[in-house]
Amino acid sequence: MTAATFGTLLTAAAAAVAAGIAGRRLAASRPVLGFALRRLALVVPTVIVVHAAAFALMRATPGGPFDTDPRMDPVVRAELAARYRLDRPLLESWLDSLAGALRFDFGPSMAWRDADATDILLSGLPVSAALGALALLFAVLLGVPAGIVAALRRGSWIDPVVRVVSSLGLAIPNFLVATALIAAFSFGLGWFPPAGFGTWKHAVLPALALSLPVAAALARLVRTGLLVELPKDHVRTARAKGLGPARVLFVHALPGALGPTVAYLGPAAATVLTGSLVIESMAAIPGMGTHFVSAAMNRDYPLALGAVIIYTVLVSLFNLLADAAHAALDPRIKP
Amino acid sequence: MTLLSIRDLDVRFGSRRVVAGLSLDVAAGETLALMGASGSGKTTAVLGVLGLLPAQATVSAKTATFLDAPLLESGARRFLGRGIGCIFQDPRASLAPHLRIGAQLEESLEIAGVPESSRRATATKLLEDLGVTDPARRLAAWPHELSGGLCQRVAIAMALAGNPKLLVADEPTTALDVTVAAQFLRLLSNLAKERGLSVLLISHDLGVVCAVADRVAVLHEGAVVESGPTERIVGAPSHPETRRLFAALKTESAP
Amino acid sequence: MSRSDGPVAILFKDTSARIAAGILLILTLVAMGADVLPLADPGAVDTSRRFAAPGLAPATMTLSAEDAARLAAAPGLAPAMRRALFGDTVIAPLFGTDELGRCLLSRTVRGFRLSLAAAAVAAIVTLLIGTTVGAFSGWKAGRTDALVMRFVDLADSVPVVFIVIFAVAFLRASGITDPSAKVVVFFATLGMVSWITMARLVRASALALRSGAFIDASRALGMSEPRIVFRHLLPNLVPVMIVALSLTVPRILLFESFLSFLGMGVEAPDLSLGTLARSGFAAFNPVDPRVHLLLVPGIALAVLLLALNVLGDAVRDAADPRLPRP
Repeated sequence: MTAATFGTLLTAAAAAVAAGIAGRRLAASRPVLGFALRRLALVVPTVIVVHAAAFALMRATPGGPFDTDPRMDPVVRAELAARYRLDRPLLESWLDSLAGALRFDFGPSMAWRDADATDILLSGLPVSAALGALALLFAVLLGVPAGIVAALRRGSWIDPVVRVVSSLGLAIPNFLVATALIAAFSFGLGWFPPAGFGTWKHAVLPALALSLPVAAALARLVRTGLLVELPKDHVRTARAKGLGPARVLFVHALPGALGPTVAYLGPAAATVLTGSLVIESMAAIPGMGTHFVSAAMNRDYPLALGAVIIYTVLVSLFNLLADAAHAALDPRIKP
Repeated sequence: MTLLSIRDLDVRFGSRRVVAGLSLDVAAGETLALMGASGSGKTTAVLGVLGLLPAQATVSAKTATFLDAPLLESGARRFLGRGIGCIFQDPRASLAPHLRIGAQLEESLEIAGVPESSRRATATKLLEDLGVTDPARRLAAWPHELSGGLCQRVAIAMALAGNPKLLVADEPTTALDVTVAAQFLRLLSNLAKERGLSVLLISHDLGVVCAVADRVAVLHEGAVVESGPTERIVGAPSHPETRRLFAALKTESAP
Repeated sequence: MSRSDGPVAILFKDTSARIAAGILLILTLVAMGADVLPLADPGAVDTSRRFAAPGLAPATMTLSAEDAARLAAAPGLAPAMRRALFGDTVIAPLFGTDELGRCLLSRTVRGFRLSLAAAAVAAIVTLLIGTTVGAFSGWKAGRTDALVMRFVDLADSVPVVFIVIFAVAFLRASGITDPSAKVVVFFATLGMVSWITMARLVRASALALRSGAFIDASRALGMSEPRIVFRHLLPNLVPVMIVALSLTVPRILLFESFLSFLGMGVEAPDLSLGTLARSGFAAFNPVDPRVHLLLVPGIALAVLLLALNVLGDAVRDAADPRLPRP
């Protein structure tokens, strides 16, 4: 084990323990911050578990990644094995790989010789992040107002329409939505390009396809949340105080109704990330999803492992953010 | 002078007629108790006049006026939080759980037209006047950190923030324990006397009604069957439904 | 609705739930009886009718001599029943044909069958793991419970899709050559990553039941612990298991189709709705979009999921209106 590996593992363990202890200390005085720190401390063990699972699957696979070419010179193969540290004892290479993962240094890519897995992933991350952020924005802009209107106009035609459309949104697979959007707005109307990435126009259709299931889930959550909240005494008090309808809705009814919606932000991020695997490869967008799928297909282990670790951290952070926001929204929740 | 006047009030939920031809008047400075068994429509009638029922309810009346201005068709919105203050049954549930006490009280003061710079001081004074100790700390608290009695005082403070002429109190003591309820009733009659406040009290507690009400109106199946001075109605009820109601209430309170 | 109504009666009072249950029943029967129905051979290539558009006429055709001979030679009960019932008649490609002129209707039915099987296998694995973990944790309560739930929390923050893709890559290279074994392993993997909802709901229910009066009574009667668990605890967990399945099964189906669409799930010659959609997307182009190749499997999946979601909502409402919705 190298000194760098040892140092990284020690630092990560120390950071996790420190965050955990600080989180416990702050639990009384700053509950939300303390909670966030305790959850942050859990990210390190999560990364270790995910890394161990992926690493085990990688190493358990019979044959090395370079066995596909039988004409390869054994000397070259040995050199390659040394370059990717496949010739080391299992424990040592596991710890080295783990330390690398904790530093976000995943080593050289196997498929893209001469390129670093980290660099490839970092080139895809902004693309995927932009797409994901746009998708979440669309989802909120479509889903939340739909849920509010459905709850307020319960009994009119709007409510059943929103319910049916949101059920459909949850049931129709992403790839079908994406194809329909491409057929209509790209092949049909010619408003947006069907594939590729570069301008904002490229992002609209994929982001819309990604956002639909999330928008549907948001609409349902907001609707049920509001239907529970609107008849509550404190909402009636707000009206009895003489507040206008908009203020009653946004200041008094919505915050209580949004609890489950905000807590859904974590799973929503996971849904968008998962969906982006399909959408990115469909629309040939050079994001992390495309890299991950092709890496898994080509057995480019460093790249695939790196993508899994980055996804794990992203999902953990979104869950943390969602739970902290949920706690901040309702002072009665002791996280 | 008549403050609140209602003639032939009807409230329907779909085909169900919950209030049927109710009429009543509240004069300036008097405390009127609206009594009736549960389901007789007392709360529905009052909430209906004030426009606080959910949208499914249809409310109609020959006249429903406050200071001669119409209340129905969202006319009540102009008076809520100003001329009319309301307090409800469960004081803790009546406060928004996600807003600090100070924010909720200042919101009421904003509706009453108190300038922003003096709202905090006015809020503190309001709580002090209601006998709340350490008002600054209470203003920074969350509703779930306060006792039921304190929450009720906050609710009263919010209702009084607009210097109302009429205070509507819907079963204000049911959720309180006996000693706190007694304190509340003393407070209520003092307020009525000091400020010349009219009170429309919805209650089915004979003790409470006798303690504070000048007049009583008894409701049965959505209409007033009997009304008059408290002593006469409680002492010598003439309508059979009134007698039945009082008999039921007495057996309830005497175990 | 009266109080004496049982949960099943409440469930089927809801018209949309009745329709959804009917659709699911018909689809399942069609999938299970696919070998009896007069469907074309899903692998039969006919290059004279590549990319034929969907159409209703003609509705039926006669089997080609070659296919008829193959059907006549096919062993087993189902082909015999088909011969007896329908003879040489075969349903025409009502949903159109693919790039090799194969009947899309027949392929969709087979794909549907495999997707359903995937959901079933994954559901069983989910039930086994989730109920074991959840019931154990809830029944033991206290420290054990806290420890197990910490582990479940950890498992919950693992992005399972990515681990599954890793597992599939591993499966590809693992040397398992039997395609049906591969498919079963793939389905089981789906189940192994979907047990968390089941474990959480079962645990909460077991925890509540544990302190219930009848369990106390059983203890007082001197019943052994295994007997209490198997005779009293597990039967009472069935409703919450059904609720958890109603949340999990649609997710597994989407997940399967999604992985197969990416080319990381079911492999040819096996068909699932996802692989059909994948080849449909491969044929999708601006000049001649051939949308039916994507729409048919896509709509089949959407109808299945919609029916499952509607029925799931009704099941959850009937079981307990306060349970969470997705």
